[in-house]
Amino acid sequence: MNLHKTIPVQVKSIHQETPCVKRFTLVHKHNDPLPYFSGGSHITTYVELDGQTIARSYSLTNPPGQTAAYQIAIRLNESSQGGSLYWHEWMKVGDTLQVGFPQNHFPLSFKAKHHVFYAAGIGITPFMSMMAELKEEGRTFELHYAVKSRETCPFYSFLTETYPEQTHFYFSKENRLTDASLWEHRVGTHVYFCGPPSFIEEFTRSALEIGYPSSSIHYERFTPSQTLTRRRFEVELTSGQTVSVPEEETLLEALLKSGIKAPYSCRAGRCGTCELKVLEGKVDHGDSLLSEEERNGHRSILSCVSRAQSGKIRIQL
Amino acid sequence: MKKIKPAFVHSKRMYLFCGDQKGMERLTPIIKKVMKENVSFEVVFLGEKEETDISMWMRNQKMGTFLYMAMEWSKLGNFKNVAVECGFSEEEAQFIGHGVRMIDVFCCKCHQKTKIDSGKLGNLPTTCSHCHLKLSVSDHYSPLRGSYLGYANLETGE
Ligand code: FES
Repeated sequence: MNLHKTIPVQVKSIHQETPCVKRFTLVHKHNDPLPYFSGGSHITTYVELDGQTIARSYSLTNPPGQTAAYQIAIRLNESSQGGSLYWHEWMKVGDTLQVGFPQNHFPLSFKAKHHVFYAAGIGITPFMSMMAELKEEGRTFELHYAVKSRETCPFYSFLTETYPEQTHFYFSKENRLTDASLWEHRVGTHVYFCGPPSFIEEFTRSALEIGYPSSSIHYERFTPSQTLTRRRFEVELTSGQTVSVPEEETLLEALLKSGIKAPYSCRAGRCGTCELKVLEGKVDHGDSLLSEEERNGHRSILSCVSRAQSGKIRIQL
Repeated sequence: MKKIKPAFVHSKRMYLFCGDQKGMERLTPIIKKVMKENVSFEVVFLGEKEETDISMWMRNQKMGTFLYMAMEWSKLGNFKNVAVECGFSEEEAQFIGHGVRMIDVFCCKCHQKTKIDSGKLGNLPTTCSHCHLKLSVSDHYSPLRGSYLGYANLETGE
């Protein structure tokens, strides 16, 4: 289990947003107020399945400042390893679970004169609370939202009613979302991307090519980028124990399976909670957190995504 | 005070140059480079346009633009504020001053400001133009006060 403190919550209601997306409203198990959160925050949920704890992070989609309930929207992922499948198939109203305190790795920039959100599919979720925050504060923003069709578009009617002026939909059969609008934003704009890794990478690349400074580009990944070659490797710990990491597992998963209390939070290589010291060996970095210098130093590894370059590494644990 | 030289920043869709005669001279190497690279650019001479026009011009620029501003120190501060107000960040602009740069010294006693020539920074001491206290000017710049802090100059009497 994570080292962070958790909160006991209960599922208050479940709403079928689209055929593949369900929205869950969670309240405190003892009806206490929940901790405050800011736009762009997420929580990690812990569900028990076959004696294992499955930890997944989801953005909070209700407006910040509401402490009576948390809302999350989950898309059923075809290749689900238990996370979204459990939520869709097994979670019922009245069920209880533990969630972590809200964390925000995707905050709004306070320097921006104008905010532009680019979402693909379920990537809309962090923008829900961000837009609510901006609207409340009277700041300007726009949303460019790419989805397959109106029928499969989460929050379609909410967005058309609440932000009719700010929202631009792109249904892939009618008009695809391209990077064309990136050329149009006025100086002082900050852009935010959320969706599949390929979408984030493509839009980030375009923005940089146009000349956006990297400090005006923000993105959030919920899944690590899948560029690493997955080879089996061995990890020797300072305790003397050796753990082997098979192809299909991450280092973090292998450590947890062996009963080692390794720290973690986002599981996507962007928060840094799982960072471990490397004593020997080279690392194949898959995170979006370490600097170029830190990568080249091979002195630390983010166990949730990164792997060993060579057959074996030694880490401090 | 160190002279800041303009430096070329790569990979922008558009370059903006704004300055007075002398400022433009200092920007010439960059303008030449931009021309050679065949990228879009615009030049605005200070004095040709009203300040409000310049602010409109800056406000209407798109992301991916880089701004060079080179003019007398006395004007630069004001124009820099306008550029920042329009949305140009530290990474999207360079500000190059020339001539005499006057700076404010904040009096530790009466909390008023006195203007001095920045070239005299570090030279002993100056007198507060309000309460006439002798101040030694520290190299500590306070963004809060927008000034360098001036401390009472304790003379030893030697
Ligand atoms: S758990 Fe967040 S970076 Fe690994």
